[in-house]
Amino acid sequence: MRQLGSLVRPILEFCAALGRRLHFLVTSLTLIPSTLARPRQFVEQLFYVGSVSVILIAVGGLFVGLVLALQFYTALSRFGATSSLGGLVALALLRELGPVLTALLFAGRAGTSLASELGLMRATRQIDAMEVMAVDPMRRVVAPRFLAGILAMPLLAAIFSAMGVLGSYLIGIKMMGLDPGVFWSSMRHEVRFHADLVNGMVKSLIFGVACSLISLYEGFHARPTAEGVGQATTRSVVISSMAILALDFLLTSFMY
Amino acid sequence: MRPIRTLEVITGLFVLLGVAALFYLATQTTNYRTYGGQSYEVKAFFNNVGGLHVGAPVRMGGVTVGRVTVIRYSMKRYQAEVDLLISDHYDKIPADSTAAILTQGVLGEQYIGVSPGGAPTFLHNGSTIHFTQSAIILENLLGQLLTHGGHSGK
Amino acid sequence: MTTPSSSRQLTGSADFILPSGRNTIRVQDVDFGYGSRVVFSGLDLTVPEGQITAILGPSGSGKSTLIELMTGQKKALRGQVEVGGEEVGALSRQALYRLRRRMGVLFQDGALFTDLSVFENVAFPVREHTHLAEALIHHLVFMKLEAVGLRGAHSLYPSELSGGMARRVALARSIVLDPLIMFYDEPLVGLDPIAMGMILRLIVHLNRSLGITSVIVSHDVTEMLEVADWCYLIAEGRVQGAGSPAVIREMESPWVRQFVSGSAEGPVPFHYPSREYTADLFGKVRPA
Repeated sequence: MRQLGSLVRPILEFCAALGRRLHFLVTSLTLIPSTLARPRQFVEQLFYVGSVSVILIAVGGLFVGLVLALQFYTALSRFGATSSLGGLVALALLRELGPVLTALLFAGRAGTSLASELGLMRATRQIDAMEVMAVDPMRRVVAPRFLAGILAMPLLAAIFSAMGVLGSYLIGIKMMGLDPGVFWSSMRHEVRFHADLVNGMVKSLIFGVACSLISLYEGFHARPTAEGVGQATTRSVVISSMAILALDFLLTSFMY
Repeated sequence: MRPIRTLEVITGLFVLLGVAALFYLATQTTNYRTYGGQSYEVKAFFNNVGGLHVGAPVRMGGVTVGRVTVIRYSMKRYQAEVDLLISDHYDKIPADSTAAILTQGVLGEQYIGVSPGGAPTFLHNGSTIHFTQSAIILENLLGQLLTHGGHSGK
Repeated sequence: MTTPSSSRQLTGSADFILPSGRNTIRVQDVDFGYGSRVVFSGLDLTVPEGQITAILGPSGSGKSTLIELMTGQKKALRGQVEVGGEEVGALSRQALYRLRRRMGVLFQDGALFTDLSVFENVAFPVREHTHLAEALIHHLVFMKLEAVGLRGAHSLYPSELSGGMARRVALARSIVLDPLIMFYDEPLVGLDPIAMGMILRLIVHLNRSLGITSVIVSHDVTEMLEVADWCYLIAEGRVQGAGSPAVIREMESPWVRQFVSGSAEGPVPFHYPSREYTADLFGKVRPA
């Protein structure tokens, strides 16, 4: 009986942890309308979550595009198929690398700052102060950040992919001297609007939900000590990254 | 009047940048322009389609007006049958226009180039382009040059 | 408002009837703990309306937890916490929020919102709970800042304030919507004597002029015995003594005597339980 208990307990604890996060998700989602009614806080959070990540995302996208183009060019030239370079790079970016790498960078940049900010508010009792002022911290603190995270992610992913395409253009045409017409038409040829671009954006939106949810949850429920804030920040990156990669596999197998 | 806050301006710029990137990706890297929206379908028969494949653009004067949706072999006419989806924006293409399979650059993608004729009637959904010019096959061309004779394919 | 303080100090017996009303807080037979750690067992106390009640006890005696029970942030494991006849633990979220709008809490370190200026911190509850015009909010905030003497600091940020100033701003924020009950969680901790005096003056002033029911949780016995109308001494999860300051000063319980006089000798030992000193010095070296 006791052995059975020690076997069942971790499972129950896992279910409870999942349930608490689901409750957190549903509460945040139901509070979105009240966030939209007071757009100022939301705009402010969009700045802290989105605008500050633009440089990182743009530079990241550019380098990934450069590297992809170089690697694909070397590989394709062995088959004499360098005319497909544009299409291949664009497909890789829009379907996979854009959404996933953006989400991972987002988890490291915006996710950690959300987690540590909320953890700090918890530790310095700002969340308690709101609570006793009869102001719901879920509505005032969590919901605007959550919505901002959801909206920022696809926009950032689009910037990432666009910069990646630019990077591959620089390598393919400026450096390797491919014909621009061939390069661009292979892209338009291979990439389908709905199946590739729209699905990539849907992926990115779902990563946005997961990433914001995990970071906010970890921060909001951080232990109210300096150590607790640090742990919450670390956990937010680790859990977000795993969730992004696992979700990516699931979504890819459903979508394509 | 409320003062303009830098933070709000930057956030607005961020959203604009994101939307612009999305628009750029949609129009420059995908087949979005000829995919969505209203369009009509016409047929064309070719002796040889060469390396043409589904999704290839249909162009008039270099402007993409549609794309190839189906390529099959017609057992009635013993010719390749190609379905072209053309955007409704271009609904005044003369019925006697010519469709040719052309190559972009020396070894680039193949596409269908449409040159307008002079007929007062226009192509519509289900109509057929009668005047076609097949893909130029390099081997055939070389063969003809070497023998100094024969007739080029219509 | 209340009985004059001179008549109150003469009485301290159990049959003294404390003034009660809508803002009376009753804690009855409350148990509370975290896991296996017991904080309260069978705690009973009453906070009279319109007076300053000091809850005194050593560090770690759960005094701050008591405030959290009264504001409904934590729920008692057993027993009732009633505010004006309403049982806090049984209220719905909405009803609890309605009750909290009658309350103000001054946290130990102020708990100011670090990303907002002093003005916006004080304006925060007003913006959240009312739809007043900007001009009116401005007046209201400046009146409260004037009351705590920090009108000139309205544009500073919390990181630019000293501990005492931060606590005064937090006080202005908690009274901006005119609460009927104020909770002060260790209001004097970490303050220099001047700042301490300022905070005490404000607490007394708010109570005397507006009749705010005030609960102060503290371990600064000397200061509290001076300002409080009524005191509770809490230790080991129970009330160890109750009464007016005069009564507390005269109490004979050795524990109360030690706590009030602040001496190292008494029932609360200076040494953490250990084995014989000589055994540690001359015996075998204990594994770390």
